[in-house]
Amino acid sequence: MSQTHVTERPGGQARPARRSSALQRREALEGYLWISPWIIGFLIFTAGPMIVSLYLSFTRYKIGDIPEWIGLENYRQAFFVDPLFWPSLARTIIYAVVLVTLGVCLSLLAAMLLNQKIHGRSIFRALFYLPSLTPVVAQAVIWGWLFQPQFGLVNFLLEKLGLPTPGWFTSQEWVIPGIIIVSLWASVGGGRMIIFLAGLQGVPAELYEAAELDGAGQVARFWYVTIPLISPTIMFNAIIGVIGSFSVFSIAYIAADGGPNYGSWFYMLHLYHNAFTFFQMGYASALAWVLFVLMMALTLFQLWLSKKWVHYEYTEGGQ
Amino acid sequence: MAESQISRRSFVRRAAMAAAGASIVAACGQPTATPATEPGQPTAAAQPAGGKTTIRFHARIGAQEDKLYEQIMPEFMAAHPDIELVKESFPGAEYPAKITTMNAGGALGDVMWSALGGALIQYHYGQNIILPINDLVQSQSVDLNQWYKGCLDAITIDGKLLGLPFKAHPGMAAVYYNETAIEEVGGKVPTADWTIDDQLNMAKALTKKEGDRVVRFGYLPNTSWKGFVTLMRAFGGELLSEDRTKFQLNSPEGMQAAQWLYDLFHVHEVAPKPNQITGTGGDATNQMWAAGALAMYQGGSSVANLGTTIGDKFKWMVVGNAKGPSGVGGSDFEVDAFTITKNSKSPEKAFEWLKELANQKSGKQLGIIGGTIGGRPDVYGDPDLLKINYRQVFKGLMDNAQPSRITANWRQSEAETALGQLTQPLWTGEAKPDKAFMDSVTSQIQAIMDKPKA
Repeated sequence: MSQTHVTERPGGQARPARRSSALQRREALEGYLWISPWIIGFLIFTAGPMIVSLYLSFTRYKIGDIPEWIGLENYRQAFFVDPLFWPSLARTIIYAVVLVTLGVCLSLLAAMLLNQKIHGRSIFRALFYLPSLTPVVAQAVIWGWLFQPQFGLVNFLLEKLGLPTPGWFTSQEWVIPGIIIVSLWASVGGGRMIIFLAGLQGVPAELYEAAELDGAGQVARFWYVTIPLISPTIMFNAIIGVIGSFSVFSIAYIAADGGPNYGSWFYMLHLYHNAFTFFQMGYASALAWVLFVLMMALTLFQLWLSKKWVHYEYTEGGQ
Repeated sequence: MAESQISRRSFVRRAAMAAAGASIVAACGQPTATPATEPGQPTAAAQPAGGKTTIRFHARIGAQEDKLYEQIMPEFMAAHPDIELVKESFPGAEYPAKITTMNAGGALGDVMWSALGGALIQYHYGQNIILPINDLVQSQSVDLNQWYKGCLDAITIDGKLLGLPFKAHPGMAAVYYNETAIEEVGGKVPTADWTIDDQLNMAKALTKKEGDRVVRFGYLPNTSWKGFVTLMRAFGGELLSEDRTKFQLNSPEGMQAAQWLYDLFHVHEVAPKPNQITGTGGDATNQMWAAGALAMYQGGSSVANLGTTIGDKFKWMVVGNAKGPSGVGGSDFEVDAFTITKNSKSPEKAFEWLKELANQKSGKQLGIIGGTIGGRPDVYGDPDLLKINYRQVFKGLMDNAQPSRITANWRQSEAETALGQLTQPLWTGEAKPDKAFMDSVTSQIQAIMDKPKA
């Protein structure tokens, strides 16, 4: 049954693998001991609440009360009864698709511009990064002024250009485009752009030189050198972007409180109000798990899809 | 060497077990349930530390209230040397969640602020947090006539009095008006018997345009749940049925009320539509009033606080809502209360603090600080407070305020949120208050009211 493995030691001496394994186990145990504060924290503050919330999603629960087991009723309510569930999910998906697509493209564009050897590059990088440091409340207030339909700067400029002047945060039709603009303003030059910058700086210059020698123009170099080599970065930003945009909450809550007429009532707002305004913790837990499963499925799908277009600069075995 | 290895392994195992054990013990250390006590049957009496009993009370952060607490806490503790007060206050938006979480963790204090708004007090009662005070009132022969009956009724459930009124006002019963603007157009200031027709005419006269832009709107009505409650009463109806199980916005009176409001925005154009609201955040309309961009503004008693912001920019006063076809302007009691928690080990001493917070002196002091005052006739009728003109108006409104109605399933907050969202197309002009629209709104809110009790 059991097999005896031997391992070569430096100097050609062999010893049973068991001794090495014992050492490894001991080291592993010590390792676990050192990271045990994090593990304990994770179990208590993340995994524990997640398991509890999974249980609560099958109950009718008010905090401080004994949860009443109702099986799949909360999920039935969400899928078949709650008039706000599907619209809030659809709204969030639309927001995520538009924001991630535009956000990734614009961040890449900004990173490429800021990767050029131009005078004052560091200053431009800092200026592009600044909006991402603005607190969400300040963003909401500032953009609330800018988007004020009658006296705001945005509509003033649109009017001067002879373009229609939307109601922005006061219009059911325009509130999501308004929130997307604010989100883009705050995120295009943020962490996503920095990651793209790092990715771009990792593309070997000799590949561009070789492509140039082969007669590739700027566009061809971008499509056939830059994009393949930064495709892991694009994938990373896309996954993080989708997860982040599905969690859209603060700007919609502060700028429009989910309105007008539920126009910015995103999924997270629906979840939040059920949990902390209406105190339907069981139902809110079910909503949270639906979102979790959806996010997990989307991420796995993106990872599966990435095999078809993401290019890694190494082969199996780390070579 | 072998011994050493065993020792290290043993050490690691024991250390890991100790760490895991410690965490489990720590997790179990928090009590998870608050023992329920029957009214008047407190849990074991607290052992006073150093001869004192600590009374922890939870309050909502507010400039006016905090100033009051600062003033009366030292006096109270001096008068009650066996009691030490500890204030723990939280921002208003987080307050319900904080209390709920503290209750779940068994960390709730002795006394807490609660309110009729959003059916918060009903929710706290439903959570079994509140100790009804009937027995304490009876044993100490407290005269409940000190407070407005409507306030006490509003915080009584199934005959159980849940606390004592701290602050109270007659809801959206008043209209603030810019006297300077009225003088400017040569009008007469409204009187207590004015009608909604008078109000509309005045609003039209007061609306001021510069070019094609309105620089002063005649009147901004309140379009929230509370606004509908008062306006429907002016039209002779009720937003909720008497048993509080039916939502009646699509009743004939509700249709008339909604049409009247709609016309203010889109027919007469005397009220600012959402895209005409200047200012930012939830306080935007208050900012417009204080800036003189609204000639008349419907609001509760707290709007009077803006007097300091207004300063001498313009003269202002307040009058009761214009009378509708029913002959009244509409109102409803709004109450903030302090309650004793079931977690309290010294309800009698907590009750002493409760009485202090709800007495004439505190209620009056709230008025001196500025803002909504105690829910007592002797506070609303206090000669010193009545020296301020607008308080005379509020006394009249409070003396005649109509009863409060909260949804029978206590999902008030959910229903109010839905009404606020669903009626927005009326104010933006994207919908009209026709039967189809009103039936749709009504049925969606009725669905919330048909849910199980919160």
